[in-house]
Amino acid sequence: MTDITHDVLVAPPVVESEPGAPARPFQIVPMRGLPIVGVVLAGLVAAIGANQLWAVDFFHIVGGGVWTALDLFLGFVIGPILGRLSIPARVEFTTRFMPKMLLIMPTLVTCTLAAGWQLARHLGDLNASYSHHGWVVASFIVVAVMAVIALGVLEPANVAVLFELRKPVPNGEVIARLMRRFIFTAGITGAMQVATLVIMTRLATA
Amino acid sequence: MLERRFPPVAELTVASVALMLSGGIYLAAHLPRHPPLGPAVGLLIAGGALSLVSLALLVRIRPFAWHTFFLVARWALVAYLVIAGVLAFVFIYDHTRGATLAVLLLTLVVFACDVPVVVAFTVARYEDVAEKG
Repeated sequence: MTDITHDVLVAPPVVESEPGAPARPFQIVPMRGLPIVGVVLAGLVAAIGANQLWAVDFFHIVGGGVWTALDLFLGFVIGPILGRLSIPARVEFTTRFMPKMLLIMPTLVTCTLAAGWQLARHLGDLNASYSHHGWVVASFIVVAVMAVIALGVLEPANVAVLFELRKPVPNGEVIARLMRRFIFTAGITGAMQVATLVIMTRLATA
Repeated sequence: MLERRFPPVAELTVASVALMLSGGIYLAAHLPRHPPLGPAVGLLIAGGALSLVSLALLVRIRPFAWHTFFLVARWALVAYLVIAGVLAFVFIYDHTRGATLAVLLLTLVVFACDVPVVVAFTVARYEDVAEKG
């Protein structure tokens, strides 16, 4: 479940076709990060298995906080800055940044959702009789909208751009077409993240 | 390369993902009670059908960068099976049982298969078929 507005930062078109320009070798999935992902997911499963309120709260708050902050910060702060950089600088940033996000975002989202579900169960928020149950369901819907955008539009484009950039002569037109997706979805994603903040703070103070 | 037209594999599969998420939300909104399963089963069948149509369209594409497709799909499938597994663990741990659990697990399976198809198709469609075959 890769996210979302972080991808905006590499739009618009990144690369011009430069015949003969060698691509910098890079890993699409940084293998060195996989053990860290494994440890985090094992910790998540252990936290749920231990059934400790603090532990699931930790994973939900940390995961959700970092997810939302990353999304908004990268989308609305780093993105516009990057948009003004030279094309080689953007390519350099993209090839270093996007592979890491392929590991970071799905891990954050999985931790947030799984721990959030357990937290809601602990606190009784899942019961239909809970006075703010509607907010809980609203949070499901918000996450689903973000998931469709992230999984169906952005993550495929992310990976396709990385494959294109690894070619000896990246096709600027292909990259430009893929990057257009980020612009079209940035507003929706930003609105969903703000909605998430509203819902979560409503639930926390209910 | 950009002008080449492909069947709506990605669109159908993303629609299936949306239906799976809708089914998941429907069930999650009712848990821990036993919800009426009709809507969730309907969404599961509709999503599964869309996925099958998408696959049927996909296998008929010639030529296509199948090497790249399977390279991406394989690793994406591993990743999304892990994610789906963690989510399944949560539901099982919370004593979700019987038909409700079966529908949830099938929903997760379709979801975990859909995402790799979308990612791999999007990558492979822009590959040079002559080189990657």
